[in-house]
Amino acid sequence: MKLIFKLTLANMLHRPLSTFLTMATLAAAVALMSLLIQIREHTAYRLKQDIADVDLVVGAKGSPLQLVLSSLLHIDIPTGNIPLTDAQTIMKHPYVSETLPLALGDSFRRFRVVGTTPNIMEFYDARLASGEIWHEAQQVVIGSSVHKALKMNLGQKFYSSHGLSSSGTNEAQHQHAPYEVIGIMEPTYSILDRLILTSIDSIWLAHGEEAHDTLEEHSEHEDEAHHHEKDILSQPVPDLQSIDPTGLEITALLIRYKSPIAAVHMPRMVNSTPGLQAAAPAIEITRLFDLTTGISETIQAVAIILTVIGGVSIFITVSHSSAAGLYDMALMRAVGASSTFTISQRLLEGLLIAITSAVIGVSLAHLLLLVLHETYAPAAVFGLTGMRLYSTELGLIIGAVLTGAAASLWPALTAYRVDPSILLKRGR
Amino acid sequence: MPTDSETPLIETKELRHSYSDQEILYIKSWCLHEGENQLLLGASGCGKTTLISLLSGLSKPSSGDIWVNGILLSGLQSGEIDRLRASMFGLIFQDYHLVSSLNVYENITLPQQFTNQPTDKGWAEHLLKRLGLTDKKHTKPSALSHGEAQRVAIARAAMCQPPVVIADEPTSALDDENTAHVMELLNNLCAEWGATLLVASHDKRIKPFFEKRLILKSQETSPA
Repeated sequence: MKLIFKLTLANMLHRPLSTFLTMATLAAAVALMSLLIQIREHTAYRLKQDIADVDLVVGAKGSPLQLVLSSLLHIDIPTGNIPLTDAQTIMKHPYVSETLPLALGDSFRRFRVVGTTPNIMEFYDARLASGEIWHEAQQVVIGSSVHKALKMNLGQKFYSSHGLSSSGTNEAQHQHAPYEVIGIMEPTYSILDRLILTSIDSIWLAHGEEAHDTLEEHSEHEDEAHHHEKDILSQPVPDLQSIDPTGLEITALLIRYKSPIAAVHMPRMVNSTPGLQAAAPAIEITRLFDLTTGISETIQAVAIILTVIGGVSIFITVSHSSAAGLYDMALMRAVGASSTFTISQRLLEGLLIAITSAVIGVSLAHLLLLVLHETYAPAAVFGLTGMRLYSTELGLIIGAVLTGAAASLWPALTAYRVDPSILLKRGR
Repeated sequence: MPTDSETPLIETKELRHSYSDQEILYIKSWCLHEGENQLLLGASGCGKTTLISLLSGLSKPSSGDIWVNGILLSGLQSGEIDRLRASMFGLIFQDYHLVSSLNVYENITLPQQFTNQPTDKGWAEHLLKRLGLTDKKHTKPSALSHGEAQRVAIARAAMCQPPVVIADEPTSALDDENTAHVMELLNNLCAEWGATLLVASHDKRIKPFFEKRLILKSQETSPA
């Protein structure tokens, strides 16, 4: 066994350029496939985490896909706000098991500030890494990605900006209402990692006081502003179910049903309420995937073509190696090697090229994602670290190995059939 | 099987071989006994190299029988012929046929590795020294002169100390002095472990080195 490896490696290293080019082609194909697999698997995983078994999203009328994207995935602007009165009615409905109200509209350096209730922690099965959950207005709990990207720690204060711009600019800051970080979450590998969570009344206070400030035209003295800031920070968090809803609004309400029968009645009931719409995440995400099917299929086709090219490349390399190596095989038989040995050597060469290329390809894809995650902020936000090996990637490696075996089988069998004495006569 | 009192190392009966329906070799009867060095003499194209391939089991004859050490080759499976060849023959080819990706030492020790024998380093070093190749031990074949490559081929054939050493045209490109030198080297080397030497050549200069000769002609062969 040692001899066959030694001879095969010597043969491969004897033609370094040819071996390298073949391996580079196949490794590139495998790397592309690996990237696709990782992105697809991670996206599916993230979507599952982000959707968090939410059955229905209730929000203002508009595009249902936009409502789902803005409320669950936090990648679009909301369709508008809905009256808290209507939300309270739905929250108390007998078909409803769990609800999560959301107030959106502000952000801090491209991370969204989300007003919600503390039960969001149970809703997403999240835990605090340090600190505590908010119990007063203007206190926030930050996700692990926010903590890492902005290097924010407990006790740190900041001003949010109005709007959900992804540019990270700090225009239109709520200067009168600073937030204070009082909790940092453990990584959940869901959208929560990229959010800044606070109480809903914090959002109301920020926006309400902003309007107040506009009317006062910022006439108050700095000391008074300081006292005002302290007043805001000491506001206790109200109970949304019992608070007087008059004039208050939220952006969306996430709902989990108590029974599957709710799926028939709840959307109809919500949609019949003026100004409200219901969107089922499962339906909307499927629709989104349908829209992107063409793109992913095209990329997949390119990867498959590259893999085929890689397989053909192995075939050509091993065939060429066989053409030159047929002679070597013949003379090895002349000096004592068995025909089984020489066939095995051809096969081993194809397999070694395929295995090495596959491992290099998968490693490169993971390394690329790791580097991107560490150096490119948007990639870090997506959360694809390149540190996880998916089972489908193992399938990819097996596929590459089978390609290598299939591509080298024919040259090996051809070599077996040829009379060694003819090859020796023909020479190299 | 022949019933001589002493079993020949190699024996053939009614041996014929054709390429593309054209018969290129016919030997009615021939044998090689232990210690009986022989010369297969014949012009180019008369089938000398083909005969070596047939005798060593690298090719199958179109018809006729070959016995090696009393074993009928046509009765053996491919793998058994491979093993018999490895244990019985040391082949020296006209074009030397060294494995290009291996160095001199690796080429020389290859036959022992193929036959799963432990590499006899002492014998390998002895051969290198005996053939003046010690300083070329780690050199690749592409960097060797013709003379050096031929000596490596000889050393490789001698590595397993086989009962029969077969050399194909070992002196075809040599002057008289070197021809004599190579023939003495082959004879002396084979004598070291008692191998029988069979040389196929068109070179009549080497006739004096052999007591027994087989003259190969087109489709007909006669002892000289």
